[in-house]
Formats: sequence, C-alpha cells, structure tokens
Amino acid sequence: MQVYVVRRLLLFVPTLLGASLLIFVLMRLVPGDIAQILVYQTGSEQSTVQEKQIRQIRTELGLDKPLFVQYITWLGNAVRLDFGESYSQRRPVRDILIERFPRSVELAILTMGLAMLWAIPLGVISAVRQNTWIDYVVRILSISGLSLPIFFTGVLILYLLVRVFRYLPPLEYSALTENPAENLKQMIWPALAQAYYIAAPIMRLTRSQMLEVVRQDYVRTAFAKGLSDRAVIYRHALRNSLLPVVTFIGWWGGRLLGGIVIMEIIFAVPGMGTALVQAVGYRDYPTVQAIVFVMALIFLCVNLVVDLLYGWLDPRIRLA
Amino acid sequence: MRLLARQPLGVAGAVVVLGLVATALLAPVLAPHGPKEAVFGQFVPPGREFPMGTDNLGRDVLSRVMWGARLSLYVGLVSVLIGVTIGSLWGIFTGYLGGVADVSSQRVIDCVMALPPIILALSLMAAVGSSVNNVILALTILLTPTAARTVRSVALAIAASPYIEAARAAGTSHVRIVLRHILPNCLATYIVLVTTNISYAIVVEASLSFLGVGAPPDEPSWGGMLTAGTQAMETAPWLIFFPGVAISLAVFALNLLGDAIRDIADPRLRGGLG
Amino acid sequence: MKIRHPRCARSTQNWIIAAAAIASLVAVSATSDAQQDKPRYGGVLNWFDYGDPARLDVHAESPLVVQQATAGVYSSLLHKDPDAPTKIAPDLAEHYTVSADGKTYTFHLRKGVKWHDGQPFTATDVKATFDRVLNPDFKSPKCGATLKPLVAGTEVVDPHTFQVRLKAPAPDPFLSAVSSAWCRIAAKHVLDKFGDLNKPEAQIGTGPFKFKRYERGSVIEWEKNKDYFIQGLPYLDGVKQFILVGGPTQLAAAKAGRIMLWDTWPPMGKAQSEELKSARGNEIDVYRWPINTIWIVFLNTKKPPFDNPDMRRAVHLALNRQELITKALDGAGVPCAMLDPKLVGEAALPLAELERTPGCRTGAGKEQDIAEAEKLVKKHYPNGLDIEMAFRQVGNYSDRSQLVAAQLRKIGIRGTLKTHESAAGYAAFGKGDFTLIAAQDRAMDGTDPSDPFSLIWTTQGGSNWGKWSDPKFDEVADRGLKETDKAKRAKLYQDAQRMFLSGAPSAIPVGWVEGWFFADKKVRGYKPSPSAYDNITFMKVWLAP
Repeated sequence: MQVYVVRRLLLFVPTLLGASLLIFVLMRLVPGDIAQILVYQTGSEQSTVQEKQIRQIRTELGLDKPLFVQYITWLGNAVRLDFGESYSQRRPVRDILIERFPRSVELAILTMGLAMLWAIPLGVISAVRQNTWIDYVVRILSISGLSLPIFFTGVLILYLLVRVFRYLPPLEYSALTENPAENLKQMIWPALAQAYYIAAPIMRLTRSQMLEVVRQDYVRTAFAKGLSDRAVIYRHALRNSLLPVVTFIGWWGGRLLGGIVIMEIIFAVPGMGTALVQAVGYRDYPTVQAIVFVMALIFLCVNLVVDLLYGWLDPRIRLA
Repeated sequence: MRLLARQPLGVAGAVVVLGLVATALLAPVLAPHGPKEAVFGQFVPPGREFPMGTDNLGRDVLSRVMWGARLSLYVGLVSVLIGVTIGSLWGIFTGYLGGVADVSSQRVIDCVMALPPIILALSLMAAVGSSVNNVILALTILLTPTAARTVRSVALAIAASPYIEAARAAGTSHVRIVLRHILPNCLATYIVLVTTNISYAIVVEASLSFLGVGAPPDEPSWGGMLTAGTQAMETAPWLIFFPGVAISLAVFALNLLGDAIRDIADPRLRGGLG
Repeated sequence: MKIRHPRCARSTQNWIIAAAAIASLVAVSATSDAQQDKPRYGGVLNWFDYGDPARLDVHAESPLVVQQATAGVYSSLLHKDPDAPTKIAPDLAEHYTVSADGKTYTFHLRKGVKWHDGQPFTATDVKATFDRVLNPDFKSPKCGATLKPLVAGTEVVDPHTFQVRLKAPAPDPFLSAVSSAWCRIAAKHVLDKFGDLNKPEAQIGTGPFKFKRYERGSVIEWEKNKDYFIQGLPYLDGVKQFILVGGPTQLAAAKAGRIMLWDTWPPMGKAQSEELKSARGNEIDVYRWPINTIWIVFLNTKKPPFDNPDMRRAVHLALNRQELITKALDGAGVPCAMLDPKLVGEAALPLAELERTPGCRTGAGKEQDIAEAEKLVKKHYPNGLDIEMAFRQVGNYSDRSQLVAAQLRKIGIRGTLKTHESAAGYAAFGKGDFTLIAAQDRAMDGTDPSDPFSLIWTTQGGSNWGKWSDPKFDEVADRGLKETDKAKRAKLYQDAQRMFLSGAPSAIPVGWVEGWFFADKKVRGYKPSPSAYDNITFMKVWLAP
C-alpha cells in the first residue's frame, strides 16, 4: 500500500512538470506580453516612448531572457513555493492563491454535493424502475441538464430570480468563516446551475452501474433469500455500484475548479477562475502558471485520494 | 419495428439528428435570407414575415438558426471526428504496444488532462485567434486525450484476451493483429464516443462564445446567438428561445442516439462524457 | 473663493457652449430636483465597476476602472466643478495667478488641509506629485503624458504656494491637465513609504472619502472623511462599488435595485434601458447622454488594400452611418460628424451640410455613393476581396463590427471578423498590425474642436493608427490650433472637415457616440460630466429618503 502511494506520488512529478511546461509554452504563444499590454492599454501614447517603456518592463520582469532560462528560473522558485510577483496585481502570487483558492474549492464542493444529492437517488430510481415512465422521465431530465450550455443556465437563473421573485443574490462576497449565511446565499445559485449540468453524467453512470449490479448473482441470491427490495437495493446493490461513481466524481471534482469560471463571472464570485481569466488577459505569466500549477496539483491529489478510496472499498484493486 | 419498440428514445433521437443534418445540408436552399444579411428592422417579433423574428441588428433569426445548424454540426462533427479518431488510434497503438511508448503517452495525456479544459481552450484560442477553424482545433485538442485514454483501456482488455495471445503465438504480425482484431473490436466504443462528444463539442463551443473566444460573432453559431440574446432577454425572448431550443434539441437527440447505440453495441459501456 | 482666468477666455467659452448645449440636450430630473430640496446626510451610494482594477495607482494607470476605484479619495489642484462639470473650479488650490508672459502659474493652496492619516498637506506634497508624473522614466499615460511636454520646472515657494513654469504659454492644455481626474495630488510621505500608489493601504488622499476596503474582484468601499476640507461635505456616509464583469449580471443588479447609478462605460443599449424602466418604473430616471467620444473605422494606409486611396474612398462612401448609429447605438449618436455641434458649436460642420455630403448623405444620394464605391472596388479587385476586420472584444463593438462587415460586403469587401482582447487589441493597433478596425471609440479629454484632430486625424496624432499623413491637412489643423479669433477658427475647422470628407481618409468617422444611462431618483446632486473620468468623487451627492 505504502509503495503504491509513493509510486503514485512520484508520478506527480513528471505530470506537474509537463502541465506547467505546457501552459508555459501556450502562454508564450499568445500574442503580446504584459509589458505591451500595460503600456498600450489605452492606446493613447506616442510609439517611441511606448517602445522604451516596454523594454524597461521586460528587463524588470526578466522577459528579455531566453525562454528556457525563464522556465528554469520559474521552476526553481516554484519548487520552493515562491511563485513570484503578479505584475498585473502588484502583489505576491502566493497572496492571490491563498485568497482565491478556498472560494473556488468551496464552490466546487458545493456544486458536487448538490449534484450528488440530486443525481444518485434519481439514478437508482431510474435503474430500479427500468423502462417504466419514471425511467424515461428521469433520463430525459438528466439529458436536459447536458443540453443547455452552463452559462445560459446561470444567466437564466439570475434573470428568473430577479424577474419572478424580485430577488438578487448578494453581489458582495462574504467569507464562509465570517458570514456563512450571506456566503451561501451567493454561492448556492452558481452551484445549482453547474450542478444541474454535472448531475447528468453522474445520474447516467449510477443508473448503468445499478443495472449491471442488479443482474449479478449475489443480488439475485439476496432477492431469492426473500430480502425486501429496499434492503437489497440499499445494502447490497447501491454500495457496490457506487464505486465507479466515486471515481468519476473525484475525476470531475478535480477538474471542476477550472470549470466554474463562467459561474464565477455571472454570479460575481471572486474566485480562482476569474483571477485566472484576468491573468490570461494581462499575460501575467507568473500568476497563470502558479494557478494552473496548483489546479493540476489538486486534480492529481483528488485522483490519488479517489484511487486509494477505491482500493480500500474494493480489495481486488489493491491486489492487481 | 422491433428497434422502435426496444429503443423508442433512440429512434426519436435518430430522426431528429437526421432532420438537423438535412437542415444543415440544405441551409443555403431552405434559409429565406443570408445569415449575415442585416437589412431588416430590429427586434421584429416572430410573425408571418419572420417566423422566428429578427435580432438586434435586423437579421432573420430563422435563417441564422438554419445556417447555425450547419456551423454547429460542422464544428462538432469535424472536431470530434479528428479528435476521437486520432485519440482512438493513439490509444490502440500505445495500448497494444505497451512499454515505453505506452507509459510516456500516458504521462502526456496526464499532463493535458490535468489542465482544466475551459482554461486550456481559453488560452489556446487566445494564442491562435478566434476563427471557426481554430475553435475546431481547440476542441480537437480537448477531445483527443480523453478518447485516447478510453480506447486504450478497451484495447488493453482485448489485447489480453486469449484469442489475441493465440494469434500472436501463431506468428501473426502486430500490424495484422491490430488491424484485424483490435480495431474492429474498438469500433463500438469509437461510435459511442463520437455521438456523445459531438453534443459536448456543441456545448463547449457555446461556452467559448460566452467567454468571447468562440467563432467570430457574425458567424451564425448557436452559442454565439444565445450569448448575444442574453443582452435583451425580456425585450426579445425569441433571441434566446430559438437558438436555445436548437442546441437543446441537438444535444438531446445526439445523446439519445448515443445511448441507443451503446445499448445495441455494448451494454457494458458507460457514460464516456467528460 | 475667486479664480482668475486671464488667458483662457477661449477655453472658458467653449466649456460654456458645451455646458449650455448639454443642458438643453437632456433634462436629468434627478439633478434638476436637487436645487429644490435641502441635502440630507447619510446613506451609502451603490454603483458598479465593469472590471477589477487590480492596480490602483492613478498616476501610472489609465483604465476607467482605476479612476472609479479611487476618485473620491483624492483631490487635485483644480477640478471639474461638481455643480457644472464642464467648468474648471478650485480644489486644493484656492486660486492661482498667471505671470504676464503666461509661462508661470502660481497656485495658492488651502491651509489646514489634512491627509486621511492626519498628516498636514503642504506644497511639498504637490511638488512630490509633479516630480513623480514628470519623471521621464515614470510611465504616466494620462497626467504625465499631457504635462511632460508642457512643463519646464516646478518650485515650492512656501508651504502653501506652489509654482509651475511652462516651456511656452499653453493655458488650455495645461489647465485641462491640472484639473483632470488623473492629476490627483498624492502625499509625499505615502509615496516615500510605499513607492507607488498600487496598494489599498497606500490610498491616502485629501478627498471627501477615505478608502475603506478593497475585496479584490468583488467590492470597493469608501467611507466618509469627517475631516474633509470643505465644511459640511460630503453628505454620503460612504460609496460602495460592486465589481460586475458580466453584462447580464450588471443588468440584473440594476433591475433588482441593487445599484443606484449607471454612469460608467459601457453605456446601456436602448433595449436594456427599456427593460430597466419596466422593472423599476418611476424609481429611476433613464437618460441619454453624450460621452464626448467618436466612433472611428480605421484603415491601415501602410498595407494593401487601403494603401490605395480609391479603396479608402470606397469605404468612406459605402458606410451607411445612419444605419450604423440607428442599429448599433439605437440612434444615440450624431452620424458622420467629425465634430459634434452640441459639444463644440460653430466649429462643427452644420448637420444640414453633412446631409448633402457624399458618403454622409441618405436616400437616393446614398445609393449613388454605394454604386460609386462598388465601381472603385471593382476597378482594382474585379472579383471583390477578402480582408480581416479587427475589433476589441468590449462593449458593443461586436454588434457594430458585424454591421460594418455586412455593409462593406455589399461593395465586394468581404470581411472576416477578428476579435482582440481589450489591451492586446490596443497593442496590435498601436503597432499598425491590422487592415481595418471596424469599431473603435476615441474619447476626448476636453471639448475643444482641436482635440479629435490632434488625437486622430493629424500625422502626429496619438491614435493615428492608420498612419495617414497629409501635410496640407496637417497645416490647416495646426492653424486652427493657433488661431485665437473665434470666427476665423471655426471657419478653419469647417474647411478642414470639408477637405477631409471629400478626400480618401484613413480614420473614417462613423459618428459621435451617446449612450443610455440611469440614476435612481433618490440620487441627488449628481451631475454627469461629458467625460466618464470626471466628477465621480460624489462629494456633493446625497440620497433622498
């Protein structure tokens, strides 16, 4: 077991290196750098002055050095958890990470929680009542979640809240630790909108897993023993069919952190996603790289935890 | 007839998909006006002259929705065909070959998948500029690794089965084994991946439009129309209604069709959406 | 409180024309009621910022969001009069005198003014501010950029007297810069301590409000400065601005009554303003307001096809400005005008004359123009041609560009729209990296007729992105700049406009832009300024019950 964990942790290294290199290269391909963007942001000065200022900023930020050197320097500092200074926000990138990450993590957890709350029972019902009208309704309901782009679901929720209920969620962010009620009032809506989308694949997976498990021998035996439907479904079938669902949720949960950017914009949540979009707009390389680095790290950790959980729930995996 | 009885939703999906494909192909003939022709009154509600009304710039919404079918299905189909095909071949070969090729390709896939998809698409679009073909490029890059991973696991399972071992023992060449045995067996997975991912591509394209990095705004993409429509939801609800219905219908139908194909081809395959 | 304006008669006149014209253009009842009832104390004004400013250094930055975030915290030597924002009024300088040769300005500063941290304000602070923005190595795109070419030196005469020596007499540009919202006076001890003004903690000014809180990406709050140097002001307990990036979010906030004022960029569209009216009924005033901004279609003269004057002429003739303004701006604009008569008076070409000018006319005349344009394109490109049409992905530029593309397609110029992110777009345009820019607004800092010429249409213009150069035209514009006789000057500018519109220009005016805004009826004492940057300190604003 320990060997397994250590091996998995070692695999983090090349993946993180690769992911950071990928985003490093990608950002360098985006036309313009932060020096140009800061200097030209209103497009009102004379170009000779501008060129001089651009050179100044580039030197200051080390952007005039070869790309290879820039990457190595960044990497060397990142290893020591020094992510440099955000030139677009004029403060250490670490402050941005500490400020923004908890919010997005909260939103992601809330989203996933709501999605599971809604998707798993429906998936079970749909499987148990396979090919009845309930099954069809539930399946249609779940596909409908996939069929609207999430930005539209979000805008629609916002519009209907204001139009029908004359209610607007708070525009001002309050920390969960300081004012949980206000915080939830703001966070619940983006979480709902996103959960509606994510619930669809979870529900479908639960359904197909349940169907598969229900056909298995031990479940048939349980029925044969005369156990009630309820007991069979909940004690035996559900527990076993949830395994792949857990993996899937973990996998998607890790990715959710980047996916909620659209919800953050619509519901004015100052999270990681909005910070990242802003940083991409400014070509603020240190910020983009650090945020993506941490997102990738979280994704990998969540997956590791899920794998371990999976192994713990299903001993056959550990042996393999 | 038996198919209809066993897969009523699937047949319904297939009918709608066929309808959309027909609309897409015949858009130049069917559409009453050009999709970029901005010569009519603004915000004309749906009526006899404009069945779906006109938009904020005075364009016929019906024509744009029809041309939109062409664009959205084109973007969806091309990106998914390229992405899933490359991904599948990649998955099959590395899965079958194993060893260094497999391990290193797994790490590459890890790297791409560790980046949040929307962020990857956003920075890609910023790098290459917004055009219809670049949207296809970004979607392809998103889809390839997922497809590779899914197909690889199927290929691995097949490669480990006794009849492949038998074939290998009989001295059949690797190329022949892959072509004759593994490829055909991965076909079901491939088809399912294609049908489900087209709808995913359509929805992601719409999200890119919302973030301002989708297809150029005068191109009649459903996502772009929906985004523009959110500016006047009350004044002109038809501007969100019709493109919204079009997207929903397409995604719905493709998913139902995908489900049915999955059930017929291999009931054990499960939700490959991601 | 007296101000002596020995040499700026011309400027004052123009501001007055503009003031009168604007006042007659719209009646903002929220403000006209203001004189009737007595201001009340208390309450917090809520409004919004369309982006997260991130950096707060008003001397080093130029986006409107930075101005909005810090305006009420600082004071300037002079500022735009809060009661009549087209006029210059004293702020930290009680009054100023000008030497006989017009080159030395002496500012007599208020006494007893305190910084928000309790330190006394003196002329050394003013000197530190001027030294900072005048430093050739310091990037100061607004205040510094206008002052650097004008100022020869500065001096502290005594703790309450500050002197500026100009290189040559230039009353208009100098006073306009000193009174602009970008030339705020910062404290020497704060600059010494923090090095710049980016941090929230460094927001220590002498203004009516103290900087209270900056929750990044979410909200910026000011609180009342109880020691403000004008007794009895401000009326408000505070100002709160939400950072709302998404268009639908901004509209939802307005509909729900969460924000009381929309006087920021971008303006609302007509449809949005109608929706707002139906949601808020008579709680709000929706008004149309000029924003001292012109919409230009830029053609790059250094690249084919627009290095060819015929092709530029074709675009000029083909663009249907009336349709563009009607559809993209809901009619809120002055089509085809190079100068807006409302803002600059007689120097603008009369609208009746524009109506007859090829390119600008409507009806049968326009048909003729379009046919002529088509002929010009055919002459060089018998099968038409494909080009890229760029625009920055902000405001309603997307709508506007789609219309421009649709119009030019009719004469055989088939455009593919190319979007740029906001700042990246400016970088590309500044470097001349474009063929055609379909929608780009240029905002003026003042309302002198010379402003758009100096900025856009002359060879040296900072926004002459198309690199168009016509020495004869430059000469007329230069004579206009120097002419002091009002009538002669108006004539010169009218000639320049005729010359421009009959030629093959590269920065083609679509028209002057106006927008729809709203104010809650409770908001009193607020006078929108023709520039979005000015008069957002809210020092005299109060809330009715």
